[in-house]
Amino acid sequence: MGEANNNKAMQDMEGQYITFELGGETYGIAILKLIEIIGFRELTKIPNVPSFIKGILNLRGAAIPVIDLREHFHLQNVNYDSFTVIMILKISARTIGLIVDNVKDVVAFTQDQLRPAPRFNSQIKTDFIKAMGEKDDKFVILLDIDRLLSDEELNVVDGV
Amino acid sequence: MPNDELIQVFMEESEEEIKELEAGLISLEEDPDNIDADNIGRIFRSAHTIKGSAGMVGFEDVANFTHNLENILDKVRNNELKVTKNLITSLLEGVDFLKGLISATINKEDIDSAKMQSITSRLKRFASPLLDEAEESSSETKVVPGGVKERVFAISMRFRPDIFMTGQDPLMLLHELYDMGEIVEIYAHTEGIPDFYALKPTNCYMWWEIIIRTEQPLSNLKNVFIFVEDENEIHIDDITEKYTDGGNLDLAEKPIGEILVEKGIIKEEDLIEALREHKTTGQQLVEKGKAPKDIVENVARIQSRSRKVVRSKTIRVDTEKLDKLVNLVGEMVISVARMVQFSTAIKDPLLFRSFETSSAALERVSRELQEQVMRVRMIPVEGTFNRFRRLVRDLAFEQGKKIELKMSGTETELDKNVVEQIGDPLKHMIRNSIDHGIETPEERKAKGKPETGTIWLKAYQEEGSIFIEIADDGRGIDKDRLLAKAIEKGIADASQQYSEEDIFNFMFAPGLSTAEKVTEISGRGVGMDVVKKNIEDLRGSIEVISSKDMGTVFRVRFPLTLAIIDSMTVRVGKEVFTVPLSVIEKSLRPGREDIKTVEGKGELIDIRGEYIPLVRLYELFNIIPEKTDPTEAFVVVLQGTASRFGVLVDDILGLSQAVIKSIDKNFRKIEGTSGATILGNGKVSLILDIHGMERLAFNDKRNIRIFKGVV
Repeated sequence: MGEANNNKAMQDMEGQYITFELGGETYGIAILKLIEIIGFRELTKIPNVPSFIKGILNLRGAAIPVIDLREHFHLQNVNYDSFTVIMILKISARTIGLIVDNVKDVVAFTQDQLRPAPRFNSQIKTDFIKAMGEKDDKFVILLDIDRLLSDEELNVVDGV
Repeated sequence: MPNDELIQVFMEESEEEIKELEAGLISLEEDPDNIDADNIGRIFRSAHTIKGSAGMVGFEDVANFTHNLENILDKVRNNELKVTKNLITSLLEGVDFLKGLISATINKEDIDSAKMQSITSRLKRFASPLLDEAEESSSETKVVPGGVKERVFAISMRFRPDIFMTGQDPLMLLHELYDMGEIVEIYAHTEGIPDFYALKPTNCYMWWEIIIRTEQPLSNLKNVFIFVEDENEIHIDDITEKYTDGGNLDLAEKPIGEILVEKGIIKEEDLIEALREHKTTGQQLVEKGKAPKDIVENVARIQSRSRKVVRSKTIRVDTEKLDKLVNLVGEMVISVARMVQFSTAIKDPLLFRSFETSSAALERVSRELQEQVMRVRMIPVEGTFNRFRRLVRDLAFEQGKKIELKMSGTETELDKNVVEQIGDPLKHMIRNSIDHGIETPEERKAKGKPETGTIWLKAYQEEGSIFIEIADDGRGIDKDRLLAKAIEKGIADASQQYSEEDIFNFMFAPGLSTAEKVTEISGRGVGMDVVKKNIEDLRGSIEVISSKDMGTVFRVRFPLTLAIIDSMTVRVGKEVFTVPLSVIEKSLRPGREDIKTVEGKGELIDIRGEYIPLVRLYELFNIIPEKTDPTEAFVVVLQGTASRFGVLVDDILGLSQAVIKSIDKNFRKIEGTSGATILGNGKVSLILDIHGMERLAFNDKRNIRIFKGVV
């Protein structure tokens, strides 16, 4: 990828991100994907699905699946507490809830504050990382939420 | 006369279609050079639908009138007719008249037949193939070779009675006009001729009106009358702008009576008298002594009152508003429940008691409200189904066929949105079955079938979907002919091999029709592509099964978006599941001796001497249960189409009405469930699906529902 291309890609990613914490790391999701943030509430379990799909909640009459990224990223499990929140996101046609430890800030990243996603060896899946944002000496992992929660991912059935 | 419910449905439907029609025509007018095929297709379909529905409720006048509109739209659709301002104006006038015609028909008022005539004949002129070429010039002046413009003049010539004395002869003038151009219309007024004894042979009693199309300028026309114009009444008007091939737009808008008065054929007084004599049926009956006047008047009064009542019985509401209402009320019920829980924190016993009473009332009211709001959206398919009795009867009669319509599951409730919109596609499918499916009695006899053909119309809920089937025991779909037609129309490729399913699917391609002749009903090729589109718009799917001489089944499947089911709630561990009551046979707590384990077949349970499989829900869904011993828990016996089995649950919580929410909208289908519902406490509960559970439990991949509709 040429430098110009890279710049173009970074330019496209400029904008406001909602940042949140997950297992001590800070992540960011494009703010336009966010519908609302609600406190954690008890979920209805879905049988025979991967464990990162935590269940379904009722959001004003609609049944919404809730996902815990911590498990998806193979981070250590934590108990949900009063600080745990669910971010309700609009991902293509779907509305999906995302459990996070806590929501921090809305941060605006400019082109020069963005770096391409680091590449590891092929064992580590990183294609859902859009870019790395750096601001005030802090790193934010910007997620490509559409890719992270693609049809493919959601259609994974446990044990298959 | 069809019943009121039918008329009500027709009234609502036509209202909407007319709106579509108007909007479409207006957008067509805005951009006449750029005809959007979709738009014109939609307009055409609206007209087609109104015609069809009107025919079905027996409103012949409405159907016939709409047929004219449809014909023109068909021509526009096929690019046989150019869109001009004139054309749109006439069509819009037609639509306006149609509105009045429909309401007059519904209210059994008198129809302005003169106006209908004039509008119809004008529309026909547009549609007439002979005038297609001339049509293009309708709004402009026709340019003939050589670049001279042709104009149209209306001439009226009234002569003084003693004109012959002046050496002039009107006949000569007429001959002269004949030489100048084409006489499009001529009318000789003879009403001035007195009776024989008063008649003076040397007088001229007649006068003439002529419409002439000519290249000659007005001055030349005037020259014809140069010797008579001073002493006689000669008027020449240039009506090129108003005249559209055979029709004078001025005349078209007027009732026949007024035209007659204007032309001097009758006097205004005569017209008023004639109108006065135009009596209502009631009046005529009274005059003929068939009914006493006061009774007729009384009945008329009651009738007019009931018309008002009928009109205000329904109100059309945007379904989006209803959706919002349903969700909001659901939230409210939950909030009320939460609030009630807080009441325990009230220490003062007196305050607590009064709070409890009022909150209980609030709870009750809000629940009732929720129930009612949800019911608003759900209506049984019965009304829609019943509309087809008439259709089947009439069509069978028309085509000399004997057909019986059998219905089942008419009580199946569907989202209003769906019920409203399935009418049209269902109608087309039924027509298709009658037109192409059911054979004539002779043909059937020869095939060894009963003379009377049967059409089944069924609705049922299964596997988390609502199915509607239209089945017939007719000749089945002629695959070869269908394929040949598809190839002919360029839809299919002759060099390719197609599966049976592919071939059947050609039926839904736009512009394909295997009917040899265009009947009033099907065969315009508008049917099946609309059917498919309408059904897909409702997130449904359609499937065709057909076999030669056995019949054809159209199976339409709709998702349960907002269906309500009566259900039982059960608990396993911490999870609460909802089971549709329709599949529950009974629930029981088995005794130790009722449970048997059979090698290789798993657990069986004895239900009055019959052994049925026992499915442990916690195993199926990987949940930690509270109870694993069936004798301490409950078994709910489920009865499906093909099988029967018991489901082990910890506890039975009670009965409820569940509003089905889709999960796959935001997630995907969860095996073993058909959706979710929101419980009273605001939590989501999954609805168990008997077929999905069957598959999970017994790994049953048999397709048990093939060709269900036919014999």
